[in-house]
Amino acid sequence: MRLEKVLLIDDSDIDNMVNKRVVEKAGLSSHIVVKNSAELAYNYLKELTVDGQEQIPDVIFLDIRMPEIDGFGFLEMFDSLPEVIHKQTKIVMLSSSIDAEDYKKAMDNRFVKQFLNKPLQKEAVINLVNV
Amino acid sequence: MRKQPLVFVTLGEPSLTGEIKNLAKDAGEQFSFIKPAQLVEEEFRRKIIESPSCLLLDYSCLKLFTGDPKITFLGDFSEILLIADKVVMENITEENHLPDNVSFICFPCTPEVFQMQIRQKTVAATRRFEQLKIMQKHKSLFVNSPQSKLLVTPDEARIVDANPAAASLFDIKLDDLLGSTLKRMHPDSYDVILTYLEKSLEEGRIVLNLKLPEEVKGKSIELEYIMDPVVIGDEKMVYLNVEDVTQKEKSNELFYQQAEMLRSTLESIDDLVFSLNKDGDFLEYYQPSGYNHLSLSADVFVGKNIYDVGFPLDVARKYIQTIDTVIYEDIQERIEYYLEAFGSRLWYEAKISPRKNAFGEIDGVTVICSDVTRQKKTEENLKKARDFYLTLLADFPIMIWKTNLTRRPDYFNKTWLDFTGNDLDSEMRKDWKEKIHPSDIGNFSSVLSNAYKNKQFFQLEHRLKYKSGEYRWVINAGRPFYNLDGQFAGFIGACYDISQKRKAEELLYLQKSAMESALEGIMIIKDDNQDYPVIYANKELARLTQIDETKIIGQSFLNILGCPVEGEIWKGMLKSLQTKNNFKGEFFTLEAEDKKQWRLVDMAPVKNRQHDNEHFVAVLSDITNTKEVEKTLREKNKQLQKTNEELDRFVYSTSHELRSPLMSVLGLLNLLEADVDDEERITYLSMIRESISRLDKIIHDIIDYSRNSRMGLMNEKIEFSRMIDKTIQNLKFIDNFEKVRFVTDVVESVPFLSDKKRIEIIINNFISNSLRFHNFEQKDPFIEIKVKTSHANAVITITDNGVGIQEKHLPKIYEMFYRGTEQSKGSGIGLYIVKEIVEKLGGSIDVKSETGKGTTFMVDIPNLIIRNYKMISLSVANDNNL
Repeated sequence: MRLEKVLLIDDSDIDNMVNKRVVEKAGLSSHIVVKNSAELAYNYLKELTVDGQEQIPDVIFLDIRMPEIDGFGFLEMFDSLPEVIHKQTKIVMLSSSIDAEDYKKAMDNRFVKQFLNKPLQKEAVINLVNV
Repeated sequence: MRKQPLVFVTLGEPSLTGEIKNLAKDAGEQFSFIKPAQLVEEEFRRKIIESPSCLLLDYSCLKLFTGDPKITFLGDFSEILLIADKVVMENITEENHLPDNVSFICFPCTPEVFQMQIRQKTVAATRRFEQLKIMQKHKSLFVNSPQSKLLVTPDEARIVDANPAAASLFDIKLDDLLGSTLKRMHPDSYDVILTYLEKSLEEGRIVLNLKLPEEVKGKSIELEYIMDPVVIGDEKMVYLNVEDVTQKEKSNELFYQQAEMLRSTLESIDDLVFSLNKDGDFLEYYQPSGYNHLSLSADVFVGKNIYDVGFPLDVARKYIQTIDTVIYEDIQERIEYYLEAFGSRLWYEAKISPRKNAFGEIDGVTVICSDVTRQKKTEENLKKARDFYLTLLADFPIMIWKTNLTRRPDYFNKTWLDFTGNDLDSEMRKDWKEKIHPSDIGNFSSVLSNAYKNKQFFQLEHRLKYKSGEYRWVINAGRPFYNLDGQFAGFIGACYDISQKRKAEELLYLQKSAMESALEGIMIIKDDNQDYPVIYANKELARLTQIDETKIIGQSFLNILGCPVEGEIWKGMLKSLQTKNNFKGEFFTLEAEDKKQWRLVDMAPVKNRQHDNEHFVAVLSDITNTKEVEKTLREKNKQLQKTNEELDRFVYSTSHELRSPLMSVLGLLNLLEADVDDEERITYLSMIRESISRLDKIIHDIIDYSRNSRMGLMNEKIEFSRMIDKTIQNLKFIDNFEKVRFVTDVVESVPFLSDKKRIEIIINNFISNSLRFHNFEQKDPFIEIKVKTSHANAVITITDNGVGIQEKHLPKIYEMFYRGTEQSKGSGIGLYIVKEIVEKLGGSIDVKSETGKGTTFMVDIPNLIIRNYKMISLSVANDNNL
C-alpha cells in the first residue's frame, strides 16, 4: 500500500525535518505536508474540503505537546471537520511522551489509530502501511 | 486540866517594885509584872478570862481605874489585892463598900503575911474561876438546850429565866415570857401548878402533866413539866423542864399498832419459820397456809426430831451439820435442797441463824425456809441462756472481745482468734499494744481509758495485726459490760474488718484526686428527666465554665456549658439525656473579648452502684488550640496538595520537556546513520547542537527553580551595574547578540539588600527573553535595563522593541511550561521562575507589551536594608576595608 499524502503536525522544526525525512525514506509517500501548529494544520484541512482540489491526507502524524493548541486540542477541532476527512484520514500520534495517561487519552479517541514514540523510525512507518 | 492561878502585879509606886519582887520570889506563886496601861489591852483581858487569876496592885494605881467603865474590867479578875498603908486602908473601908473579891494588903508587911495573903487570894481565885465556868456552862446548857426550860419562883410561878426553846413551845416572845407567870399559859391549872411547885421544894423532882389550852397555840397539846428545885444565891427557885408529850402518846400507840402488824405479818408470811435445838428437835414451827414443805400439819412438828418428820435422809443430815456450824461458830448459814412433791421437784433455801434465849445464850437455831423453785428455774434458764449466748458470741461472724476491770482482755470469740491466728490463751496474754498498730495504740488507749472513766460507749478506727503479720483497718466499738448482778465488769466490744472498705476509700480518694487534677472538665449529672443537675464537677470544669466550684453543684447541666440554648449541641445533649445515649459534639462560646473558645463535650450514661441508669458523665475539653491547629493543618494540607499537584505536573512536564530535545537528537542520529551528504550532515549536527543547548537551558532553569523553592532567602548587598554587565556578557553567544544595543541606566543612591542569586536569575531571564524574542529585521534593536534603588525598594525595568507578546498570551506567561508560540525555543519555565522568585522576595511584577512593538517588564523588590541595618553597616565597613 502506498500513502498518497501525509500531514506532519509538530511545533519543533527539527522534529518536522527528521520526520519528513523518515517518511520519505520509507518510500511511502511523495506528498508530505508539514504544519508547525495545530491551528495551521486545522486551517489547511478545512480549506482542502472547501476547494476540493487538493488531496485529503491519508495519515496525519500528530505531536501532543505544542504551544497554544496541543495535540488533544487538535483532535477536538478535527472532529468538527467534514465527514469525508474523517473517513479518509488516519491519525497517528507521534510524541516523546511516555506518559500512560497521554497514551490512554489518545487511544480513546476514535480518529487515533496508533501511538508512536519519537523518534519516528522507518520500520514503524512501513508497519503502519501494512496495518 | 486545872490551871495554875496567875498573879499579876501592877505597880504605880516605883518604891514598891523592889520590895514586892523580893517578896514574890519566895511566895511560890506565878507572878507576872505588867504596866498599868497593859491591863486594858485586849490580849491581856483574854488571858485573864481563860485562867484563874489574881491582881496585885498598889492603891495609887487603882485611881487610874476608878472611873466607870474602866473599873468594870476589874470584875474579870477572880481576886484583887490592893496594896495600901494603914491610913488609906481605914479610910477606904469606912467610905466604900468594896466588892467581895477585893481585899487589902497592908504595907509594909512581913514575908509571912504577904505569903499568907497571896495564898488566900489564889485559892479564892481558883474557886471563883471554877464557879464562874460552871455558871457559864449551866447558862449555856440552859440557853442552848433544845428542850424547853424555865426558871420560876416557887411562890407565884413567875418566870425568872427561859430559853428560846421554851419561847418557841409557848409561841411567846422570850422577852414577853420573862417576868410573866405560868398563869398566862395555864390559867385554869394555875393553882395546881403552885401546889406542885411547893411540893417539889420539899420532895425534889416532881412530874406534872398539863394540857395547854387551845387558845395558846391554836391546838390542844399536852405538856409534861419536870420540876427540879434549885437554890440560886439565897433564893429557892424551881427549874422546869417542859416537854410536848402529845407526840409521845401517839408514838406509844403506834408501837402497839406495829407490834400487832408484825404479828399478823408473821402469820401471813410466805416463808416457813421454825426453830430447832442443837439436837435437831423442833421447838417452834410456823407454816403459812397452803405451804407444801412436807405434807404434815404444823402442830405435828413441835417436839419431834428433824430425822422423824419425813425429810429425805440427806436433807436432814445437811440440816444437822449446818446447825452444828451455826451454833458453834455463831454465824448465819444457808442451805439449799429439794423435795419431791406431787411429781415435781420443789427447791427450798433455808436461812439458818443462831437462836438466843433470854440470857443471850445460843440454845438452838431459827430457820427461815423459802420456796425457791421459781428462782432455781430462772437460774437454770439463765445458765442455759448464758451458755447459748456464749456459743452465739463465739460463732458470731464479727470479732468480739471483752475486757475486765483492769482493762485487760479476758474474752475473744472464735472470729477474733481466726483473724489474729492465735489460740485463746496466747491471745489473752497479749496486751492491746501487741495487737494494735503502734501509730494507733496511743489514741486507742486514751479512748479506752476515757470510756472506762465515764463508762461510756466508744467507737474508733484503728489497725489490728492480722495473722499474716500485716495490719488491717478495723472499726472497733465497745460498751460497758455489766455482770448479772448489775455491776460494771469491764467493756465488751466488736471489731469489723474494714480493710477492703479502707482500700476502696483510698482508691476513691485517689480517683477523686485524679479527677480533680484532670486536664479536662469532668462532671457527673443526675438524670432526673427535668433539670439534669450537676452533682459533681472537678476544678477544670469550674475553670472552663468560669463558674465558682461551689456554685456548680445543683445547677442544670444544660445551662452551664455556655453553648447556645436551643442550639444544635444543646438539643443534641438533651436528646442524649432523654434517650440515654452517648453524645459528642463541638461548640464555641463567645468570650468577652470576642475570642472564640472551642469546647468538646463528650457525654455518656453511667451506672451507679445499684446499676441504675440515672447518671451521666460529661467530659468538657478546651479544644480551642486543637481547632487552631486543625485550621492551620487544613491550610497546610491544601498548600501541600497544591504543591503535590504542581510537583506531579512538574515531573510530567519536565520529563516530557527533557525527552523532547533528546528524542530530536535521537531522530537526527538515526538520519545520520543512513547515507548522507556533507551538507546534510552539517545541518543535522547543527540541529543536534541546538537541541542539546535547549536541553541544557531547560536543566539550568530547573536548577534555578529548584533553588528558589528550596533555598532560604539571603540578605546581601547587590550591585546592579556589575550584575547586569556580567549577565549580558554571559549571553553573548546567543544568535544575533551583536545586533542588539544594550542600554543600562542604574541609579544606586541607596544600598540595596536582597537575595543576590535570585535577583540575578530575574535579570538573566528578562534579558535572555528579550534577546530571544527580538526583532532583528528592524533598524535599531535595543534592550534597555533601568534600575533605581531607594530605602523601600528597587525598581527594575527592562524594555525592548522586540516582537512583543500577543494580548491573549499575557495572562498566561507566568504559567509553568507555557509557551506562547511555536517560535518559542524556551523551556516555558523562565517566567514562571521569575514570578516565583519575585513573590518569594515579597515584590511585584508587571508587564506591558504590544505585538510588534516591544515589551516592558517592571519588577519591584523590597529593600531589606531597614531590617538589617547592622548587617549593612558591617557590609559597608568590609567594603571600605577592601
